[in-house]
Amino acid sequence: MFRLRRKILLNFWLILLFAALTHSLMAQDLTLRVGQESHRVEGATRDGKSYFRLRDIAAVLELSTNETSSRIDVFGPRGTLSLLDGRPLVHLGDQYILLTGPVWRRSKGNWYVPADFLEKVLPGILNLRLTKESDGTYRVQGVGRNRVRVEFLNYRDHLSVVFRSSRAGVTTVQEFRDYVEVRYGEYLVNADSIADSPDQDLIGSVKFVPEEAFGTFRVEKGDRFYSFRESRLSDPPRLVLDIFPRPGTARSAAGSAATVDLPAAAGSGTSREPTDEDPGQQPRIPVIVVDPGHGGEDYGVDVYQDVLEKGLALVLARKIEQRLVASGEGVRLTRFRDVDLNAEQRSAVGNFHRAKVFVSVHVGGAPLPQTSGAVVYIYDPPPAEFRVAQTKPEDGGGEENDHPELVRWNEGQIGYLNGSRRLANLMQTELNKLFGIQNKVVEARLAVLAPVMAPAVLVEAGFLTNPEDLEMLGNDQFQETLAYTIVQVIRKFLESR
Amino acid sequence: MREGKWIVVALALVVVAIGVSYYLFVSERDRQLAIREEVAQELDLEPEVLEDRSTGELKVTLYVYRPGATDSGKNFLRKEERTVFETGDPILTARQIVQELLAESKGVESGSGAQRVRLRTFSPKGHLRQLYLLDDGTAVVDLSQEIVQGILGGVTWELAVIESITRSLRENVPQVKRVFFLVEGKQRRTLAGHVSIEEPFM
Repeated sequence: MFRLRRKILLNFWLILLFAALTHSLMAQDLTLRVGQESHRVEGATRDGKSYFRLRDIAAVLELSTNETSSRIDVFGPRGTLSLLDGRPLVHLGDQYILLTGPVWRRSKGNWYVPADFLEKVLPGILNLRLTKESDGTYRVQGVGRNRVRVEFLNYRDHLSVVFRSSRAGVTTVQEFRDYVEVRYGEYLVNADSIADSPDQDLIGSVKFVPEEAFGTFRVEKGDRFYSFRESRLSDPPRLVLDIFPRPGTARSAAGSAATVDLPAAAGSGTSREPTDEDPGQQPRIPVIVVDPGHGGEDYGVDVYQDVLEKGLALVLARKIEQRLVASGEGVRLTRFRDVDLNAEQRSAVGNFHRAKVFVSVHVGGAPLPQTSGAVVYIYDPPPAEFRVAQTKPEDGGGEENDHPELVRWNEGQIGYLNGSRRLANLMQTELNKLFGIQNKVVEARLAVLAPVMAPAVLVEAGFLTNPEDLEMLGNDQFQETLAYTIVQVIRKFLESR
Repeated sequence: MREGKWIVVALALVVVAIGVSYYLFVSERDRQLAIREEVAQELDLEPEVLEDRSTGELKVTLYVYRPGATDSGKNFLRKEERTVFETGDPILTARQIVQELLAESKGVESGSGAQRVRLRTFSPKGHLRQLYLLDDGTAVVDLSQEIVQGILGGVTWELAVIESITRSLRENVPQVKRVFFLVEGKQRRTLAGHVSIEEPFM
């Protein structure tokens, strides 16, 4: 009897120990709550990151899938997304979304997605909303409706397109070559019928694409479209796009031509007239990639609470983008919103789009307030003895490589250093004129530039720790001039290649 | 009746198991804390301890960020003379140099009113966690997270931290050929978002 008890006790302890070990080794599962029911989504851990089984998610949300050996398409009520094994990019509609980790095909039918897939990608194809209740638990709820009416207001010097909503929700505005896109989130959009086009040739027509995001409007650019400004108003919630014509070609509301006074560039003494090239010409491929530094939780320079580097970098990058687009260049930003990307993701956007030039836009910070002006950085590779393998640099040298067509990720920039240096010198010279200071191009081991297979620079356009720079950088006209200068340098560099 | 007895026994066992697990957890936590405290004490380099081991004074040259510098070349840093304890031990010398650099960073007031801040290369909340010297001449400098958090942004700031430590160690401790950085005992891709610290600096 005593032996039996000892056996039972021993087994009990072993089971307890096994359960504790299994629990600690197992990845945390995900719970999707629909009404009173809870559904488990199997979790797994790979490279220290949490992954969730796509099959379980699809079953709960009633999504269908179509799988090949390396790709899986997920069909939702509002669209389709495609995932590739081993890639962090998700193809959704006509855009690519970067995840924090690559998609993982564990075995046939067993695809796993990183945790941010749920919030970043999935809402794009659902009629449902996923609300995070706690770590590892999401509630699936129906989405409310947002009735949006589009109105046009003609002014002497510009046209306003007003998106009047019944509910205040998340909207993002993004400019493309042929149109400006207004994407709605949070609530499903019911668009009131849209008058096809206002009596203007600033914009073509406004189209509603219900399957994009929670409803997306595309404002097609007209022949005289030059730039736009967005503003958000409340009570009732409205998003207003003010669309401006090319300088000197404005039309009155009645349709006759009139002159427009656009703000003049400050400081440079150079004209900010746009190029005479046709802005509607086909963008060349590859494109120019502009990387607004930092974003999301990563504030960048954070010395004075009301000015953060991440916001300023995005504003400058958008201005650079607009000017490049206006001059007929194909441009891609690494981020359009206040989101954090790591260095690899930024470089990946550059390499994915076969960047012909990669410019990472930042503003600087220094341990002492005297430091000022713009500084242009290029990549400085670590000494050869520290590198695992060497690739052949532009100026010769290098070692044997079993796969000469392949370049190690962190050594992508080595073959482009001469081009980067030439671009950096041009940019530093022009920015020095603008700031009235003699800074030099600096070589540093910058993680974001290391993998970029294109002439690549990182620009710190002034120091937020310097009172004069801080004041200038807060000025919209100075920002315009900075953007203009950077764009001119990029164009000059490309023309001289 | 017998079944009831077994349930009571099983419950008692569960309670004992939870108690034992909690005890093990608490004792391991206390052990880790004690180790951390021991390392911290060792790294405090109390002057009395150093004085005991000291055979005299040693003049060292610190390299600190030069106001207004942006170029990471030779003009990026300026020299400052300091005296530390001569111990004959390159690791102790290297540690004293890094401690001097951290203490050196008094900083400068900038801004006005509520926006007034003190700018400095190294945060006063930060500390040197550990410094090792490998046989191949690599000094492994393990910095606390607070030093990284004290870098309020920008490549120049990151370079100021890296270059001042690297150059001060290389110029004053002949055994140091290169410097490799860790943060909180771990390798990182970058020091504070820009500059890669995956390879040593020379």
